[in-house]
Amino acid sequence: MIPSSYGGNYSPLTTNWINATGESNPTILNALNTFEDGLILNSFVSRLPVIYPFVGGNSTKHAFNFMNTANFQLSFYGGITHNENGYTPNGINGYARTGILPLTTTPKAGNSFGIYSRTNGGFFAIEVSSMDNSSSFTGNEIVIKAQDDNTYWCNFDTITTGNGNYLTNSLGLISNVRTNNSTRKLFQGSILKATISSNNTSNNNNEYYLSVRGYGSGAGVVAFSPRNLSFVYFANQAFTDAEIVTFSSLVQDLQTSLNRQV
Amino acid sequence: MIAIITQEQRDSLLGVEFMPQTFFNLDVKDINENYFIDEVEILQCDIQWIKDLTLTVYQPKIQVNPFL
Repeated sequence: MIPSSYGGNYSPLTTNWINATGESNPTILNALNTFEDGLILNSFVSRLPVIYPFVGGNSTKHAFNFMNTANFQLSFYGGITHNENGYTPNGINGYARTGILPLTTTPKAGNSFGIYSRTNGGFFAIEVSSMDNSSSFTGNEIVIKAQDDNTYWCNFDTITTGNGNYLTNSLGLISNVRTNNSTRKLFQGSILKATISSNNTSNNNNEYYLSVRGYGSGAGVVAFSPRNLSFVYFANQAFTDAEIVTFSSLVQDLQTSLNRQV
Repeated sequence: MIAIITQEQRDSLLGVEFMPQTFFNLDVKDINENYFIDEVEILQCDIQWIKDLTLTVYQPKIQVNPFL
């Protein structure tokens, strides 16, 4: 496939985005298209089933998955502000449901998921969550910076393993990578912040939620986040350290093109 | 700020899409076990009886640490 930057119309995903959202803002479309070309050049497209770019400034456009606009559209609940900077829940009752099931979209043996945060600070709040239930603390989750400054995270294991004060701030792209059956890694942008030995023993398959703890039917009531997110992704393979450098650069360039980088 | 709602009012809003792809969160209660609607939801919806509700300061329940 020849990227559109080498001439021609918008690339396929950006074209699909236009058709689904009606987006006509050239700044947004050029930013998405450049981002897509980067995904193509680096063979990332098939590895990224879900990306929420949060562009367009309203709930309709923010609901769409850039990688396949027909799948995994977000449903929003509670108080959420949508604008050109992305999606910002109120920290009281706002959250989003993804419809994404971990075992099928982010396989146990290797996956990556993460968010781009534009809000600095520590909160009693969860950014991405799919947990077994309210009390077992196993599953897939990331709290990029809690009130105690620790990052709490798990990936088909327990959130009580491997937490720590790894990040100097809670800005930018934060990635939770299940490298293999026994290792997971935490990245901020392109920087490896933690490597944890922990087996992927959980078979959790409850839906992923954003900005609140999700654990199936009891979801949506614990640890609401007030963070402004401008990007969320789910990958069906582990990114290598080198690939994270490339991917984080693409994401940062996307945010810069939209004048909302941090 | 929030507006307290009754059980009946809460039930009437279940499944109501007040903005595209957006629904009321009717599962959360305040410290006094009241259902409520947040001011952001009130601003974004176009349901008049909700906009006529009296706003009050939100008092959350004391949270159990969800990370430990």
